[in-house]
Amino acid sequence: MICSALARDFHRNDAGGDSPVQPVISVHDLAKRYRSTLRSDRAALLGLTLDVPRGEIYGFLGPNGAGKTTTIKLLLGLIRPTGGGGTVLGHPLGSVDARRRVGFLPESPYFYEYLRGDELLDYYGSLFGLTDPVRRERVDALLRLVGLWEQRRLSVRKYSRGMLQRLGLAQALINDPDLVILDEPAGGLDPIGRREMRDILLGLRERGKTVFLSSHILAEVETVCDRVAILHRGELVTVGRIGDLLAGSREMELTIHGANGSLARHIETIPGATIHHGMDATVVVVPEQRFVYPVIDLVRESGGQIVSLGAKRERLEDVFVKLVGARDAAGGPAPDKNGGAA
Amino acid sequence: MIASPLFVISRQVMREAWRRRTLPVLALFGCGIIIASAFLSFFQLGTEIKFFKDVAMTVIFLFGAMATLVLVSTQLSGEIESRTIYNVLSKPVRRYELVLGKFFGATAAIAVAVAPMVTILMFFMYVDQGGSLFEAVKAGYMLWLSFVVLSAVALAIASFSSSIVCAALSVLVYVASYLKGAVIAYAGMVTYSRVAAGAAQAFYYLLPNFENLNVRMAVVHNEVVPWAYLFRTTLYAAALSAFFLYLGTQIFEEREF
Repeated sequence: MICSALARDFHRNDAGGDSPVQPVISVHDLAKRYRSTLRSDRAALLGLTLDVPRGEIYGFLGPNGAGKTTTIKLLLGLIRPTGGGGTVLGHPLGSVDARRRVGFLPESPYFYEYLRGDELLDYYGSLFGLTDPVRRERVDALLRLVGLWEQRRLSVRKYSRGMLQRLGLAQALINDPDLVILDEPAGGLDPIGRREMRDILLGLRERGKTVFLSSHILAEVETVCDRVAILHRGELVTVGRIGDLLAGSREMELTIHGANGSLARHIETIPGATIHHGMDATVVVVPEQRFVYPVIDLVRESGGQIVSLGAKRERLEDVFVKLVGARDAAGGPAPDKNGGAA
Repeated sequence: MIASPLFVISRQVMREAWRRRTLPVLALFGCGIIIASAFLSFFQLGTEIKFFKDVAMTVIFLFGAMATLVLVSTQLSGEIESRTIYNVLSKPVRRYELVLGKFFGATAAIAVAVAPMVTILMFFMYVDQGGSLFEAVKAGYMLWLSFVVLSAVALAIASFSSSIVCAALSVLVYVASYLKGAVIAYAGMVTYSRVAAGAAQAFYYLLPNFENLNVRMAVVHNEVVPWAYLFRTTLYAAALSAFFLYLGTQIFEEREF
């Protein structure tokens, strides 16, 4: 409800050099090397090429040190690329025109502790050149949206980690941005806070905003994102729609009651089959449908009972671990999940 | 009203100076010492007002310099160290606007801190009929000009260093700038080497000449500071500040966060 109120009250920022079909973020061969000593440097990003479509929630994933934060800093002009380039909302990376229409929540945000919550938002609103009435209206609406209305007059010094995260999201939305870049937005949030964050992100998408979300919480990403890109050691491992990434598996899953030791031993002889023993059920995963029938026969013979049978639903975490793990094992680029080049 | 980022940042620096309480506390201490010296000068028979003016101007000079160093050295470096810089530079703020906003905010805050000390000085001068109040204002203004230059120097240093390094280097530059006349005179006396003399010359011209902005003794001895001198030193301070701010913005422009 508050999201729709914001949508009604906020003035749209329609000015800009980009067209509706143009990707909101477009980078080509973007590279960054950090100088670690006088003679050596460290590659943080190796030729990233990425297009983020308009109006989507785009997940940007990768293990620690993959280059996610480096990419975000390059998009915002906090650091400069050592190779390649790109555009944000049709403007060069880090340009003031682009930043005018971008909202950014850094990882573990830090704020001026001597300010109150409402003063802080007002200050950031002023930096966008918002007029006094617009600023007041937005500050109030955003404080209510992120659940800090009651604590608005409290010094930021007294805010908990979760409250700072909420305040960080509010300041990222103060300019009613077309593109919201969030670096680990769920950090420090409790389950209710995460749910509220998710609702806010979905609300932004409903209003046609683009969200570029870097996160480690893959379950959250899977729930809200339309598309994800996985980065590893500065290289793009894969990119695609969540549905496509998770649909590639042909594995089947059977849940069995009353499985004994000999049944388990027999199932293990089936190529590629894996068994997970739970408290009151055993879960068997076989690589293809044709291996289901031998398992059913074995269960029947042992007097066990099949409780459920179906295609194994892969989670984003499985895909992530598989792709990143494959890259680690190979020491080079992992194959794309859908068979394409990474 | 739509305010430019430069103005918004300046206002924020003033608010920070007030909220962090360092500046008001320093100003309060300074005022306290000046008031105390007014009563202590009673024991300086025959030279009461001279003694008072000397102490008051020294207090304004010391406390103003301290306030400048404390405030400015934590501005740019403090933003980087506390990582609040990400929230500012991700907004439509140009880097030079951040540096200049910090400069104007700091110099305005320092003026507010110095003003009550100068006012107290003028009050006691008025009570004791101890000289021209206008000359006291001129002296206060000249001291403030030296703090303006010091702010620009400190911001230039802060553009590439941490808060602590910035404070230490700024103190060093400030002290060296006051001593440079003595250093070059000493160098001229003790060496016949052209290299040493050249180095002394370079040192002399590279550092700002804060002594040019020091008219404390003129106030103490009831001398008049000519308007032409005031104008020249204002231009000198503006040129020096512009130079150091240009240096600072150029370095800060290249910096990565």
